This record gives sequence, C-alpha cells and structure tokens, in this order.
Amino acid sequence: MSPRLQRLGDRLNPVLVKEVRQAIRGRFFRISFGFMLMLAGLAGSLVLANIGDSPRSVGSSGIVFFGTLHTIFIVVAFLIVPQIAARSMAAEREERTYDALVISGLRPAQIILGKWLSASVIFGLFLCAFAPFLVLGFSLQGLDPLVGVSLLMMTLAFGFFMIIVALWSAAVARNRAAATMLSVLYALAAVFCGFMWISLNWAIIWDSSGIPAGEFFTILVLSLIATPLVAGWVYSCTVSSVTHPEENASARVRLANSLIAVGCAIAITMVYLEYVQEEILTLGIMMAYFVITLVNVPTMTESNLLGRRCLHHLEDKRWNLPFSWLLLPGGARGYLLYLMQLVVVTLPLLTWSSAGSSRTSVFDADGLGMTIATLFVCLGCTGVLASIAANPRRSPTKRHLLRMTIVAMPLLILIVVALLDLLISPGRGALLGSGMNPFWLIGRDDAAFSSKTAPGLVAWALFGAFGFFLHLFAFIGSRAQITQARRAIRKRRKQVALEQE
Amino acid sequence: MSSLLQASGLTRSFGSLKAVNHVSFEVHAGEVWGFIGPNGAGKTTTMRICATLDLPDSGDVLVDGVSVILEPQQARSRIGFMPDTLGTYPDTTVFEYLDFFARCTGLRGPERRQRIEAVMEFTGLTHLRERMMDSLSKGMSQRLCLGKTLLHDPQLLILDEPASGLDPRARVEFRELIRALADQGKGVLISSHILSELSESCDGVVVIEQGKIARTGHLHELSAEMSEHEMLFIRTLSPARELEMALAENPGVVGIRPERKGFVIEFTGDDQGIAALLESLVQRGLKPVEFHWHRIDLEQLFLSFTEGHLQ
Ligand SMILES: Nc1ncnc2c1ncn2[C@@H]1O[C@H](COP(=O)(O)OP(=O)(O)O)[C@@H](O)[C@H]1O
Ligand SMILES: [Mg+2]
Repeated sequence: MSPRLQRLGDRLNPVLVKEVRQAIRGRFFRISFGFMLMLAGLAGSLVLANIGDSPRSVGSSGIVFFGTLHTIFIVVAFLIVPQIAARSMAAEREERTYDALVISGLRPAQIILGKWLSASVIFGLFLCAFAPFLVLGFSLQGLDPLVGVSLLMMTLAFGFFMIIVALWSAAVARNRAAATMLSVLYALAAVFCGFMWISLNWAIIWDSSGIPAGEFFTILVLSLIATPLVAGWVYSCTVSSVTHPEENASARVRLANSLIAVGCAIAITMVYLEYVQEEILTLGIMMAYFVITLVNVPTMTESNLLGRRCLHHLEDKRWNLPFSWLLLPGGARGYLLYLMQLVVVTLPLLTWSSAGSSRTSVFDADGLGMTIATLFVCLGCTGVLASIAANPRRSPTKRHLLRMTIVAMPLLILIVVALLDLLISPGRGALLGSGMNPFWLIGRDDAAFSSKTAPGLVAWALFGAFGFFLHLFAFIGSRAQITQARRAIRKRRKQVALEQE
Repeated sequence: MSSLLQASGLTRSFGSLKAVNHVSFEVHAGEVWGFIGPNGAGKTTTMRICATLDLPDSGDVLVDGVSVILEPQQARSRIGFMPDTLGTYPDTTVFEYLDFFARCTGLRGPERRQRIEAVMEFTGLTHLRERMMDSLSKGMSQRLCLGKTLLHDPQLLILDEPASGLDPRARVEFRELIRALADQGKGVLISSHILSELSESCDGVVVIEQGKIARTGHLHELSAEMSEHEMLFIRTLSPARELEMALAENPGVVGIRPERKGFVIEFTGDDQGIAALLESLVQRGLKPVEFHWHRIDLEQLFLSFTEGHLQ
C-alpha cells in the first residue's frame, strides 16, 4: 500500500472499518445480498421474457423493468440496510461493548457516525450490484430518464435517512423489551413508508403527466432539502441518547432544530414566491409550527440543572461566543430557543403580497385564523407540561412519559372533546364543531379568528402563557447557577495562576 | 507515596438504593489493590465511576491528579478498564480486535503495529493472532481483554472480577501478568467477591459492604491490626491432639485454632521464643513437617471487619 493510502486508512473512522468488515463477513449480509440479487435477476428476466411484440408493450418495457427493479431496491433501502445498522447497534448493547468504545477514546458522535457510514457503504454495495439492472431499465424504451434518476436519488436519500432512524430506534432502547418494541415499530413504519413510496413511484413513472413537471421537481427539491435536515436531527438525537445526560450532548439537537426552522422558513418563502398562493403561506407556516414543536420536545423537556461536567467547561471559548448560551442544556433554554424558532418560521409572512389575494392585508379578519390557532395549540401543548418535565427533581422515566404526553396531546384533547360531546350533548357534536374546541379552526383557512368564535383557543393561549412564565422562572434560576459556576471557575483559575507564580 | 487513584466521598444512588455510599480510598503506583466485597456490594458501580463510565451524585475521583468527572477524556488516557463482561465481536480475529481499539485510541501507522505486537507478546497471544475471537477459551479471551486495556499504556488498571470463571491454571497465569504490570510501576485495582483469590496477589485491600467502605489499608497493616501477635502455622507428623497439648503448654502461645491438619497459633515473643518453641516440640518427639508465617486470611479479615452480611 502506498504511504498516502495508508495515511488515509489511518484517518478513517475506526468504527467504519470494523463494521464494514464484520457486516461483510456476517451471515445476514451475505444471505440478504445474495437473495436480493437473485430476486432482482429473476424479476428482471421475467419482465424481459414477457415483453410482447406489440409496439405498446415494447414502448413501456423500460417503465415496467425499471419500476420492478426499483421496487426491489426500495425494499433494500427501507428494510435490509437499516436492519444491518440496527443489528450492529443492538449487538453493542447486548454484548455490552459500547462502554469499551467510549473509554477507548471515541466520542459518541464518532461511534454513531461510524455506524451510519458503514451502513451507507453496505448500501453502496447494494447499489453497485443493482446498477446494471437499473441501467438496463434506462436503455429500454418508455422511461423518462430524468424522472427515473430523480426517483432513484430520492430512494437513496430516503435510504440514508432510514439507516439513521433505525440506528436511533436501536440506540434509545435501554433494555431488550424496549428494543424489541422499537424494532417492531420501526419495521411497521418502514413497511408503511416503503409501500407508500413504491406506489407513488409506480404512479409517477406510469403517468408523469399526473403531476405537472414543475410541481414534481419542486417536491423533489423540497424532499432532498428536508431529508438531510431531518436526518441531521435524528442523528443528533441518537448521539445525545447514547451520551451521559450530564454531558452537554443536546447542543447538537438544538442546532439541528434551528437549522430545521431556518430550512422551513426558506422553503415556505421559496414555494410562495414561485406560486404566489396565500394558502402556501398559511398552510406552510401551520405545518412548520407542528414540525418545530415536535423536534423541540426533547430539548425543552431536559432537566434544568446543569451537570458538573457541563459546568466545568462553561468558561471555554465556545461557551463565550455570542448566543452560544442558548445551546447550553436545560429545558427552559430549550423552550426559549423554541419560541425563537417559531418566530423564524413566521417570518415568511413578510413576503406576503396582495397580488393573487382577495385581501388587502394578510392580517385580515379571516386571513390567519387557522395559523394562529395552530400556534396557540402548540404553545398550550408544550409550555406547562415541558416545564414540569424540566424540573430537575423529575425522574427520567417520568420525563419520558411527559414527553410522550406532549407529543400525543392533540390527539388526547380531541378524544376528550369527543367524549364530552357524547356525554353532554349526544349526537349534536356541539363541542367538536364549536369555538370551545381549540382545533376547530385548524384546517379551515376560511374561518375567522375572534374571541367569540374560539373561546377555547383563548383559554388554550392563556394556558400556554402560563407555561411560558414557568419556563421563564426556571430560566432565571438556571442563569444564576451558570453565573455562579463561571465565577467559581474564574476564581480557581486565578488561584492556579497565583500558585504557578 | 503519592496516590495514583484517589476516590473521595463517592455516592451513587439508583432510585432509593444507595449503591455506593461515601466511598473513599486510594491506590498507589506499583501496587495491586484488591477491592473485595460480596455480590451487590457496589464494586462494579464504584469501578465504573472510576473508569468515567458513570457519574456519582457527589464525590470525585482523581487519577494522577485528573478528575474523572470534570475531564473524562484526559482521565481515559490514564486508565485501563476491564469490565466484568468480555464483550466479543463476531467475525473478528484477535489481531483485528486489537487493531480496532488501537485505532480508537489514536495510534497511527507503524507505531500502532508495534504497540499491538508488544501487547500480544506480553499477554502471550502472538500465536493466536489470526484466530477468531469468539473461538478463544475463557482464559485467552480474558488475556485479550487485558491486552486491549493495555494498548494505550495506561498508568492505572481497573479490573472488574477478572478471575471469575477462569480455571486454576489460567488464574495463576493471569495473576502473574498482573504482578508483572505492577512491577512495571502501574497501579492496579482488582475486584473480586471471592476473597481468598486476592490474598496472595495484593498489596492492599479495600473492603466494601452494602455500598460502604468497611476497611481499607495495606495487608500488613491490617493483619497487624487484626491481632497484635505473630500468626504461625504448625503441622507435625504426630496426631493433632498431642500437638495441641504441647502448644497450649508453651507460655508464648496465646491462641490456637485448627486449620488443615495443623494449627494456626498466635504467638507472643521474638525469634528466640519461636526457636525455643520448635525445640520443645522436637524434644517431645513431635517431628514438625510444616512451619511458616501464616498469611493473612482475607476471609477472616472480611468477617472481622463487617457485620457478616456475606451472601
Ligand atoms: N443501573 C442500575 N440500576 C439500578 N440498580 C443498579 C444498577 N447498577 C447496579 N445497581 C444496584 O446497585 C447495587 C450494587 O451493584 P454492583 O455495583 O453491580 O455490585 P457488585 O459489583 O459489588 O456485585 C446492586 O444492588 C445493584 O442491584
Ligand atoms: Mg460486579
């Protein structure tokens, strides 16, 4: 080996080297690789054998061939490769080798990245094996190459994404029962998403005219932007789930959250400027509120007390950069960052133009009812519950339960409202269809927002405001802890300096 | 002597259970310290804290002056930790396993290769380098695990129950490796719930029970404390009864208890007195066949320091 290659080999992530070697020697990879290739060969030959003589059949042969092979490749991307990644992560827990990795000097981020990269390499091997078949599909008649390549790219992006999701589901489980449950959940989700994607694929390649080309590529670009952002978030959560809670592992998650917020704002603006339809603004911002709320749940429910390891590094340079304190752990800071992100995703409203609209102002009586309702619902679901979870005295189990409650909150409230309807006014659906129901406005962009139409929403907003103040108090308390710690560090440093003199 | 490992006031709770409760002890360079206590006493929890894998609720551990809580990365380069379970990787050879961990510690190029060879030589694994690690015997896996912890040449070794499950021969060989490491100047903390296992190889012990330190100190200090007198073991050819009578008559003997086919006696007096004792035995026709200093018995020590919650 040339010295340069050797140096490169030394630089490689050690986990990557180890995992690829183990996976290739392992039975699971060999069997699934052989099986999928055989399946691809078999299906391909069947399709080729069945091409008739009619011009119509020959004309669509490329579509059928590519579609079939791509379908098999989607199974590889959604199920098999992620499964290899998840197994390697689960083995680490079952064999109790994870600790050995940590003390060997690797950082948790390197470990997770190594696992992700190694599964990606395996994915690459599958792609190389499938490439001749897919190319054959392109060379036959009927397939629009641009559409085919785009779909393939999206499958690749989804594949990389599914790997990290599988790693996450394997990493967060602390025991075997949880691991089994999560892997089943993952498999269900993967089968569902894979199925949706496969059907969408067939629809698109058969009938490219079904979705106007412009819109198709807008969706493509949006997914290609969204996938790495969400994957980055999942990656950050995975790293923080395998790091000791007293270490400041959530900074990465906070950063990922902020990137998602900025990404949402840019995407909404771009799409709006392209089509100039105001539903894009109202609906887009509404969806962004939900997304931002979901991704911020882990950070805003963290304990507000900073661990000793974290406090020790407070005077390091990176924690003295402007605004870097926002990335420090603690639910109250997480909540503050969440509010800022909500502001960021609201910014696209500034691009509102009266062109193509019946209104003179975006703040017209019925312009933003649904969006504001969503905002209030999000704030109401998170504020108080998150501040309860962020109490340092809360046990980790209760914190997890509260997290899940926050996520399930909208559903729970709808169920409660429906039950109340049944009990109070059977058959009339009075609450479900009235302003008492905070969700009533969501989804109807024609509904006007006022205290009369939505008293439930106002109550919800007040509840959210209460949560805000709870977080604010916790934030002030936490700041005091930080200031004190910083002072102690400075004092100690001065002492050390004096002693050295 | 400066201490290599200094644990002070360690406390760690799991819910309402205080697994480790104000634990303080020290380990010095060039010495092997035993960490003994029954199952569930908190040994593993304490060792995991010392090895930066867990954080205590309060207290600190300094390794060569570096806090494992505040500076885990720096501390890790000074510590070699061998957990109680040997994690094996499937489809991996001995060399690949060591190579992987050497990469993790940041060793590069020829330096890495040399280090691995040195470690394989020290642990006697050189002839097994191409063997799959899941086909190794328990003793050999244990050596491989030790080799892994030696790759970055740590000053302090923390070994959690390394001898459990080893056959006697492997146990002796492992003990010799540990001794050799201590002679190189490394500090070793080695835990066990089998007390007698450690008595021959340790310089000092930390006795833990129900999360609390029952006793800690050098073995010679502890044995001196346990009784102010010399402990001697005597066995003769003649029947035990006669020997006991003869010993009881000697004014220097203040305590007698039977052990194996002879007796352990507590003796006051100097070497002159011992010589006289032996002479008197021979004169009575009692033909001594075994006579030596009685090494401190950790089992006894443990029972005398704890309230007897042995499991
Ligand atoms: N992760 C944990 N969660 C809950 N309890 C634990 C955990 N680890 C250890 N314990 C408890 O702490 C006590 C001490 O355990 P351990 O340190 O493993 O003892 P030893 O190694 O001396 O046998 C035991 O009662 C054990 O059940
Ligand atoms: Mg143990």
